[in-house]
Amino acid sequence: MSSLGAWPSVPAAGGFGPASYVDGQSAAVAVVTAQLAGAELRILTAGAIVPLVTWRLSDLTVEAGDERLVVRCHTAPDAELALADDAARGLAARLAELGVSRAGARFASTGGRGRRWRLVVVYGAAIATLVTAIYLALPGLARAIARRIPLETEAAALGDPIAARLLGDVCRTPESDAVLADLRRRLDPAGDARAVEIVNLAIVNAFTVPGGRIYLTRELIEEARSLDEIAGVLAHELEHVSQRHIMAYVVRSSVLSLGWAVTVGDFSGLMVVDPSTAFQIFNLRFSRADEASADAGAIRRLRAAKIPASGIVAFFERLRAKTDGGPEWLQTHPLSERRIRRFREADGAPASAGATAAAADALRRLRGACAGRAGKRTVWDALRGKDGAPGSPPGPGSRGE
Amino acid sequence: MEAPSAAQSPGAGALAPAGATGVARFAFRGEGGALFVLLLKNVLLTILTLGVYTPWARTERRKFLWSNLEVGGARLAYTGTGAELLRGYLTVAALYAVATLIGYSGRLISRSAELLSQLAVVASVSFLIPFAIYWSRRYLLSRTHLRGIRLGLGGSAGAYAREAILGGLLTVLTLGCYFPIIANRLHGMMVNNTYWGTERFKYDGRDRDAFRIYVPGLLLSVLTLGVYAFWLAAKIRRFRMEHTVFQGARGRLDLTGGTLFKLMVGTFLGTTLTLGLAFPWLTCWAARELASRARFEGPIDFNVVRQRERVGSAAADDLAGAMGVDLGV
Repeated sequence: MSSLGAWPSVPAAGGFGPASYVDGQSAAVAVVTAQLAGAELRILTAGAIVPLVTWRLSDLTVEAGDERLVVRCHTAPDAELALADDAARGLAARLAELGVSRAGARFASTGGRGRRWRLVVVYGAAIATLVTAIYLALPGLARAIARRIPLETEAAALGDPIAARLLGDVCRTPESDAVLADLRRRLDPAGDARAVEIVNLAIVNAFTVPGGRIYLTRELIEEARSLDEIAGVLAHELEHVSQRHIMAYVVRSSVLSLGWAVTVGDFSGLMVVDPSTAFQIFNLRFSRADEASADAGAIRRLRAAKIPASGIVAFFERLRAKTDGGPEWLQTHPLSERRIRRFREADGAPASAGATAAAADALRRLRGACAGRAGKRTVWDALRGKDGAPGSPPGPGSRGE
Repeated sequence: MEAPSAAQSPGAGALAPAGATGVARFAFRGEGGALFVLLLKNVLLTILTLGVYTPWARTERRKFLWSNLEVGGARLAYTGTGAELLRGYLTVAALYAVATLIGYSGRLISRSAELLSQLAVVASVSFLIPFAIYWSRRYLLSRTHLRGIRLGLGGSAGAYAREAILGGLLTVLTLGCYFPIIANRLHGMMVNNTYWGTERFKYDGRDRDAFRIYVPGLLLSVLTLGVYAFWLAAKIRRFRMEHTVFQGARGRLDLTGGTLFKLMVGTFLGTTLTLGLAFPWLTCWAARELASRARFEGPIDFNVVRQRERVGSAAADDLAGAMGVDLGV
């Protein structure tokens, strides 16, 4: 129902109406008829010969809504002429013929509702195309951007605050440092990683923080049965560093967050390295492509270092047996059959007996790194700095699960 | 209601609010489909322009909502522009950058200096909130026309802010007991300074009456784990509308707690379950339901409502939006 009440939409002679007119000086509304005469729009009250007001067509702006037309004039910005239904369509058509307004032309040709569903299809298709293009282009774009950000910048902006929180959990002895240094020399001759450390955390895992720091947890060291197993895990993490997977993930997330903020207008989600963000970084799930790429690179590193891949295969198979039953998507590092097969197929010759003995000794020295520590913290507690200030070493007996 | 003026034909019906009935009803005419198309267009252009279109998107949304709201048979018009909002956005972005710099500048000195500077920023932002609320309302009203006559907000943002800050402190000191009073006083300040053209609105809701509504209502809301909050909110809205006067007409609102519950829960559930797709239809439905329950009863002389000077800036509007206190009419 239009806002013009129940009057029949019968135009006066040569006019369009009934229409409502306000002059912008008082709130009184006049019921009028609009007439087109040459290059002018005349507005007349019922029965009047002299127009209430005359507007030049070149000064008009037209707004078309559903079944409603509002006409304004630049020279009297507060004045307004409103029509509805047939009167609106009639005037819109005439204005379109005279080339006055595209809004009026669109309204006249199809009415307000007619275009609606066509527009839904067009806009919807455009948005879907745009989003798909962004989704497809984003990984490559993120990788390209990540490679251009120096590792030091990544460390300073994101990694060092996390490293500071984990500082109190790092375990080391001169013997364990020497073993790790030897592993790094063999697996990472280019020096991609900034540091490899053991942390006293209650989870079997290894993780990389932004800036190239790799952490192997105490539980992982204790779970491993050979140095080859640790070497395999370390080789995998080194590939995440050298391929800049973390920075690419951060860029991807930031672009998506920014895109969301831009779309909905909320810019409050600035990235800071608070405990929850740090936890997300720790807990992030690389894409399958990133994992496959890291696995392939790890195999190359193991071959170059003449370390058999059987170690990591055995480690994965043992872990999978322990954690079996849970859905793969819940695990931070999914142990799919495909991944295990990849390493199994890449396995080289077994190590010599002498090398095995030396490796066993090295493993013992690694396990000794955390020997003096009474308990292990969870990752979340470590990143929040629970039971002590962030990054501060634990007091005696101050930590434990 | 006075006899029709010479400018109005007899039987102007819905064009002349009150007419023979003395009632100016509200109504919302917008259709969900039209809003859906508009929102789609806004999303598309916003993504394509990497956010630059946002001010225009917001302006188009407001134009849709305003132009579909009828008061006494005449529709509102929104005359703000995207360019005005963009200027406001840039101003707020600059302020935000300065605040961030100040907040982190302390880091260069010491940890405690960092904390102090961040506290100073938080305190400044909190201090600005009542100003932003007032300025935002002023901008929105100055860009709102009804029957070609601009609305407006006079008075002083400083006076409003002073009242709000002191009232906030008193609320804390009285463990919340002062809240109903300050809420009523602030609302009253807004309404008493609101103009339609040269004519001013009046609010005559007494603080003690507001207190009598809030206190049992808040207690019941706590006892019912929040369920009664809908009935309390409806009661407050009815109280405020019924104590709002324009010339000889007084506001009325037939809104119950049940209706408010239905609207809010229905909108939330509907939006969530349809992943947002139903939002435009639900918005229009809620607006229609609320508008149909509001009216002004009594005589209004439109001939004395004349045009007034324009005040208000878009920067203030976006300051309010950026601080999460965006307001609509």
